[in-house]
Amino acid sequence: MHFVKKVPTTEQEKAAKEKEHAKRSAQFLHARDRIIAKRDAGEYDDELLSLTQAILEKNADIYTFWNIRRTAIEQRIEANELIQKNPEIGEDEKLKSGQKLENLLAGELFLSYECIKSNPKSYSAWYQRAWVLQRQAAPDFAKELALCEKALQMDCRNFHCWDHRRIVARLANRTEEQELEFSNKLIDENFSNYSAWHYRSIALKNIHRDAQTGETRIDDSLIGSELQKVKNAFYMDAEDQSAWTYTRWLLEVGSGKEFLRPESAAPIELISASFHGNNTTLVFSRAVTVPFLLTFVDTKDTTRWRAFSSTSPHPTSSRVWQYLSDSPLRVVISSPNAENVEWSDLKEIYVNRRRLETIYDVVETPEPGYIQELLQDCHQLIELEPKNKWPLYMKTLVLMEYQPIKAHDEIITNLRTLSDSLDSKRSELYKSLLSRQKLNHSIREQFERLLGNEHDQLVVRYAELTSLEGVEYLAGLVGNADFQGNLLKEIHRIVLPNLHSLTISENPIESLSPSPSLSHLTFLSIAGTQISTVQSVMPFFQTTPSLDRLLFAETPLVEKTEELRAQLPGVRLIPHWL
Amino acid sequence: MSFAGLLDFARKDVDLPQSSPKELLKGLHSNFIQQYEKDKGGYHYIMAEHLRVSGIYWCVNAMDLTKELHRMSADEIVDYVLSCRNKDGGYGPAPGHDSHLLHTLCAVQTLIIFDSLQKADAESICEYVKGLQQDDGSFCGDLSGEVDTRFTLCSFATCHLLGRLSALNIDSAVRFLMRCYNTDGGFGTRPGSESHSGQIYCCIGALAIAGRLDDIDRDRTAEWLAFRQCDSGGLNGRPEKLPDVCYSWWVLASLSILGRLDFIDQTSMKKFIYACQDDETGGFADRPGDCTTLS
Repeated sequence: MHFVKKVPTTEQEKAAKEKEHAKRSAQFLHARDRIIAKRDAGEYDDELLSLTQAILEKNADIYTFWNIRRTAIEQRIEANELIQKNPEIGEDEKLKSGQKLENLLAGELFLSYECIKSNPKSYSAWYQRAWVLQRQAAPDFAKELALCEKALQMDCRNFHCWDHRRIVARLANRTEEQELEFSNKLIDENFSNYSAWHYRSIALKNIHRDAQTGETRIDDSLIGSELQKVKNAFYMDAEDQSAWTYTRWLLEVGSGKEFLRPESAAPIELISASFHGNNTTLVFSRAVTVPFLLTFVDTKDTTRWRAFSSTSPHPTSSRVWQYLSDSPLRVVISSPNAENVEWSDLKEIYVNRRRLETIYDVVETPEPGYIQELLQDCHQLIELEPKNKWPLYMKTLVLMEYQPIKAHDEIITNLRTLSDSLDSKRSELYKSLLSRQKLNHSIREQFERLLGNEHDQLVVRYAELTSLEGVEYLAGLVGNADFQGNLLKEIHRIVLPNLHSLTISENPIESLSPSPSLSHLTFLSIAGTQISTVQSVMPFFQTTPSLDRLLFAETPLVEKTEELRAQLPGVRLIPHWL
Repeated sequence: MSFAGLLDFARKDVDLPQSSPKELLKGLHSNFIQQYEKDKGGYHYIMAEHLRVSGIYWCVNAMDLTKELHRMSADEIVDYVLSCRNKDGGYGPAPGHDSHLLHTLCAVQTLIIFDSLQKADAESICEYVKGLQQDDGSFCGDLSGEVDTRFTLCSFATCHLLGRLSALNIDSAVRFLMRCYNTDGGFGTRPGSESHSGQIYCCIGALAIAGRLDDIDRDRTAEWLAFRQCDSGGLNGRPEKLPDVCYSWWVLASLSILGRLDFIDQTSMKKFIYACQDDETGGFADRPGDCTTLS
């Protein structure tokens, strides 16, 4: 039982309870049988309504009984409609019939209210309210909104009530501004209210959403004033996640990297298009599906596409797609909806440089005025509460957003502090952010070379990479990757499907899982890894038919060279450094 | 709520008592479940009728995971589940109750565990599920019309397990899920709703079944989930809430789907889960010291 403390009971108490339970079970079973029998016989009469009411008052979660009540009510609504339409029935009787129905609906609201009072988390009881409100002739929305407020005063996080509030606000045609004001009120009463801050962010987004594009544009001055508001909250309690989450949203909403975020409504853009002899590779700013892809290319063929993902061997949406064919596709390199659509026959690689620059922070975003103040606030809180992870984390997120190049060293130091001492429970989370920071740093150093046509090599060595999330945007540009000396544990998460050469030496890898993304490999180095058995690598090698050289020096696998040779007859095995 | 409970509530975490169990009491739990199955005349059993098929699935699954399935009365359970089928092709929680997507999924899962799926009519089940998909891609849980992202998972999982995922309009269903995707990386019940661990499990579970996990910023979602771990090691369902053992499942399963299990501290989480066990009766409570529960 949730929230019920276990307490010792005496034999006597136990016996009394058992007796009570036996009585209540018998009553329930009797009523249930009667309800079901009446329903099956189609007798949706007043007795059925009172039987279901008696049970629901004690247990509001028996959704079937609510369904029965709604059927009974709908029958009465229909009957009333017939009466109202019938010219032979007098006005008095019509009025009476209408009033009777409204009384029934009002009674239903009261029943639901009683149910919610004893079980504020009953999905069915809340649903019934919204259902009734949509059937009343003149629903009292003011009263309903007041009820929501009352329920939120008792539990300001009750998401059933918040969801109901959203429905009522819509039915009552409340404006987003009014709902924003409502969030103000709740936040002023108690700033530690994640639900209210969330509600606020939704209202703000709706107010500032471009009706045509769906994108949210909130100007700097509004972000600044919202930051002032949320600042009070994090100064009051710097451990409270509500304020920090809202701050982070504000931070990200204004930075121009919106297309990388959850909920982004920014149009999906082509990042690169390239021909690789046996396939055309398309990379997008967000995951896309085949029907979307077809709007960018000169084929209607849906069968030759392959998608790649780090979490699934057979994704149906991805940022990285290959079209398998010996001749290149023609590709739309403008927006497919543009007036003059621009095509490329891919004689040379198409690269969306501007987007890649944003993805890898090649150019820092200009800082709006409020950023310095936010940094100072974080700094002050770090001094006041040196053991609190939140201000340091927020400061680091701000730096990653606006000063990823200038503050690279500080970002690394902060993430290490968070990982090693301030919040070691989530050590791997900070290490993954550190990994991404270092990956971006390294890609920036190679950026011009990668975008040029001379080389297809990406080298990120000894950079503490725990993940290669983010590298997939380069899937059309990189054929040769060297990730020696990192902290990678799994090879199948690499989404670079045009790799012919891969070095993952000196990573803590113990086995190789099959990876559709690495099927073109001709060279692989796993030297210095912990791979020890032939069985742990063979499933992978069954997916690499073109492999001709395998370097595995300084692995326990060296002792199994002969066994491996028997399994991989066409591959040149290199068990020792040359 | 007791005074001790109020204190926990105020500081949004709990202490693990010294005397708490320190390991998994597997035997006690299977006894607890077996006892529950036997006690069909019991008050709690009778009063939980509206949850039964779902409850059966969770019990049977726990017994299967602990390799104690042979202690359950397979034939009786399968017959009971089959008796919950309604004319519309779906399953209710108990005979006489209306069909619901949740119980339909749990019926299919239970039948699979007992290798009895051939006793169900896959086609009419999928027709039932399909009939609950709305124009905007969402699903109602039953004939009531209540829409919730939980029901998207139920429908995807049911049809997937029956090998008929293509019966559904996956594209529009995913579009609806993405409208429930929040800036903090989580998902809520409906568009605009606050993020919630259970809801996240349902949404990313559905996306994973559809091969659409790349539609979201996985690391942002995983980060939100990682911050569900409290100092006690237990996981909560939303920010600033008390830990509750049930979220060990919703959060952990979600992190596992995202390939980010290492984002939380597994040692302290295990300690919390062990401490939630009742070392007299078996079973788990929501948090240390509370009463055990099956749901």
